[in-house]
Amino acid sequence: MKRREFEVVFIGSGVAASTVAKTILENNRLASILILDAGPKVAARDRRSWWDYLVLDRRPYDYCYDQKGENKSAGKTEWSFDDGRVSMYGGSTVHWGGWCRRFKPEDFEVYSRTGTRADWPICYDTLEPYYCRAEEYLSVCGDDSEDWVKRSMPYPRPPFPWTAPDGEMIAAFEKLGIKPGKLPIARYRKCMTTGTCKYCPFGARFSGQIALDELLADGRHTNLEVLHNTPAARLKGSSKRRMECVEYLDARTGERCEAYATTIVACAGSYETPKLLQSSTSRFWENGIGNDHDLVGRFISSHPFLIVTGERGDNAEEWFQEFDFPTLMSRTYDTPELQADGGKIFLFKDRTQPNVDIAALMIQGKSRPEVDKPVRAKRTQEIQAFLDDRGRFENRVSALPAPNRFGLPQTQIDFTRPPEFQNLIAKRLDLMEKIILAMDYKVTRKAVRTQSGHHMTSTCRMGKRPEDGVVDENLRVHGTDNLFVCSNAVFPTGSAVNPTLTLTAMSMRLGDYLNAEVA
Amino acid sequence: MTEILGGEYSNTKVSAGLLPGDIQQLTAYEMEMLWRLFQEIGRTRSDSLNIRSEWLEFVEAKTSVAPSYTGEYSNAVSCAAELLRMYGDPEGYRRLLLDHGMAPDASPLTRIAHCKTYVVNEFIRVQVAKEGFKSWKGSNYKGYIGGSLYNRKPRARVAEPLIRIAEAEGE
Repeated sequence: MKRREFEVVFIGSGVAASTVAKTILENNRLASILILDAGPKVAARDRRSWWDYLVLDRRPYDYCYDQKGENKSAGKTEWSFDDGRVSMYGGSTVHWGGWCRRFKPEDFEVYSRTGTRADWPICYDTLEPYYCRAEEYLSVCGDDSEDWVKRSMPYPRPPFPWTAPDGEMIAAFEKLGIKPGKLPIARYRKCMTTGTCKYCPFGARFSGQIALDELLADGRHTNLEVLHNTPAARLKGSSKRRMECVEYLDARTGERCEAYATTIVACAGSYETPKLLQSSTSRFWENGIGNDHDLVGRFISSHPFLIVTGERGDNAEEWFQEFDFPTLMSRTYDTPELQADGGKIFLFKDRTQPNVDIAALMIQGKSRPEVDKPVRAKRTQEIQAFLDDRGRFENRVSALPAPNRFGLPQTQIDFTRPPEFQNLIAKRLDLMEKIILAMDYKVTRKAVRTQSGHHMTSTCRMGKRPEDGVVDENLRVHGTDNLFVCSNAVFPTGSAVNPTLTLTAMSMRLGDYLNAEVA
Repeated sequence: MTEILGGEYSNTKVSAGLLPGDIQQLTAYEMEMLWRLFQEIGRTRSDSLNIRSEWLEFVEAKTSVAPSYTGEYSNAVSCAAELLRMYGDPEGYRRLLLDHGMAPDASPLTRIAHCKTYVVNEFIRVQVAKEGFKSWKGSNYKGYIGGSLYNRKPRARVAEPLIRIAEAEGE
């Protein structure tokens, strides 16, 4: 078996690996680092790919999504694998929206406040300086006048404005005592609001791929290496505490390889990281690494996605949504009171409506008057929300024996919602319905989407003791000296908002910790 | 019922996949014919035509990188020529764009269907995204590159100033 040696080996190449690696390289430009990713490299900023996305709605990385038949939903609640993650160089940041909301202090104290789930071993104040750094790094465009959560630094960029169709919903918010806010969103200065954010022609939104490409292009980092198409098979240790290497497959040659390292960081997301730990059985770890208390892969938590749609019988202003992301949001229902009442929600206006596909009508052969008619005939708007989820021990991710297209084991999700979940959903949808009614729109849809793993967390959760979690407050796997996990998987609980900003902050904190450990 | 569009050439049966053309280049005449077709899309429905450089970049991207559309573009020029011979100018274009009788999702199994699916439909998307949407009062659209976000002029139509709750509470 081919053997190579490094100081740090990362498994995964998304926001976590790229951010930790960058933090290490800023401290030691010559650090010997290997980054492994199971997926392929898809060219970024390629003009032909961008045009094809624009005219055919076809992204060059579509084949890197989970596909039908590759995974199994085994619980009583259906779990969708569609569009949830991207297995490629850069990870799911290649397709992320860039929404950057901080967690709130109560999100770190769930058990203390509600008697359910878990507390984080760190608090908001610990993470606050890292949130500031992460916002700078990701180039978050936000509103400094907001006061949803305490901040010590302003946003690095001004916010995107509310769009014209937001105005109606803002008025409804005000009638109901809901405070409107501008969605903080990660875009670099070069953003030209093309609305093609899922494949930006300029690289104007952070992705792990762009971040790593920049590090690789920087001539100072001569010992940084990234390998694509290299699924990690297992971790091997020389003792219970000491991890020695990552065994991986070079899928381009079929060769089995070992990457030895002083430090190993698993950054493979909330699906693959627990599966890798579970698969790494040995005489030291009979149930998989870090799994002596059967916590690896447990407590799956992911946002239920709530929607209420409304319609009115004209669109005289010919409004359509002119950005490909929401600009209006509110955290009025993202509060400790609703947390205690079963779950908070983060409200935002749908990023796609109102909209009529003018080009599709023209393709059908419609004349100008025939296109104008549906454009002006009605207007649809939708209020959406993420619900703060409650992870349960019974809900689990595990590996199936067969491999997927990238050479990783297929995934099984055992996921079941408790009966009381529907009551909670109904209460929250009622709150949202009031907004649509206050706009004088007719409600046409009130629903929760099929559960998926877009924002999945908690499958290798942090805990002060091995009985409470898989990793400690420094993200080191309990019972090991040199194995770390950096992923949404370490969040003991989720929150009502997107997790990526918090993961970026956690990654910077881990980078600092590893730098201090080396020092 | 719409009559069959075009003549013998246009209705020749072909397979649904991209027509071959990798080894040839478009002639200057073919490029001008394609540009005329693109202009007609704007003339029939949405007016804006001031985007030749972006259209050229689109055609360059579609013909210089695999899978090449060169064969499709050559075919579209031949179809358009036949339509103009049969129906005159601009009636030939009008029929192709407005009275084609082709279902948008049908598999393209004739030369005229290829022209519609691979060329006209994609040109329509480019035309609307790059300029045409403006005739529906919009300031921004998917695919539109209007300049930096930090221009003084907002990139999209924005909401009117509103009284914030916090201000109202302070009154």
